[in-house]
Amino acid sequence: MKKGFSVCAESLLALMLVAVGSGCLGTKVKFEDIPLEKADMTRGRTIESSATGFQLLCLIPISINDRLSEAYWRLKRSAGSDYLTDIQISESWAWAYIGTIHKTRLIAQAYPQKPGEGVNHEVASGSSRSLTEKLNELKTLHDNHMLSDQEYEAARAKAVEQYK
Amino acid sequence: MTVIVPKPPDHAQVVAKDVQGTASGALCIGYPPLSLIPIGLNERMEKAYSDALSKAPGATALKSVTVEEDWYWIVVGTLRYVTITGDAVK
Repeated sequence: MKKGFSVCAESLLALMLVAVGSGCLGTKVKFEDIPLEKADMTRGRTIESSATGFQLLCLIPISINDRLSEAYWRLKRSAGSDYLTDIQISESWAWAYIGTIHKTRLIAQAYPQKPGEGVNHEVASGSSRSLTEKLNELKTLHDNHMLSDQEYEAARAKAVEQYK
Repeated sequence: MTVIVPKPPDHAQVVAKDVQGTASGALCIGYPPLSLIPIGLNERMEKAYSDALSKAPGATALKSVTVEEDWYWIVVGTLRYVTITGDAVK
């Protein structure tokens, strides 16, 4: 009986040690700089986006790790072809009985292109750049360890597919 | 709200490239068990940004900003670790 309890306690302790060392890496988000020479800084508008994740039992992440990239993607979608700057972030959390809710909120100023500069197709469609430029950008991100091998291959395949 | 990508100053001059700031905060299970205690959690973004700027004397802002948040389970709660990287400009 005593031996059984000891084995059980040891297993529990081992499990806890493994759990303590484990964690989750969030998605790295790179915010684009505004090209001041192209943006019409006299006509800004405020836009906002948010993304929420849930951490079940304070341990199991559900949409937790990519909520910042999700919020940024939504912000860029709201901006359309405009350029973003003055990006502010706020993080809030709330207890929800079986876990915690985490919310990331972004607020930014969106500035349109100066007249005569054409439409910011890069942001608007994401597909007007040449394939070589896109692949070079992905390679740079990969070389700088901002994309894992798996993410790089997936993004590369997607880009090639888009340009077919 | 914490500004993480400020409007860059006109004629911004890069003071230091790839400066990195970090900050962490914990969300601990309190007593009674159905309560949570934030420790340094709510101001972690601001602290990480300030930490990055402090590594480049004279800098007023960051550009080409990258933000990452990792988290770890620490038995009594979770620890959230924020890393902000960017080029310091003035």
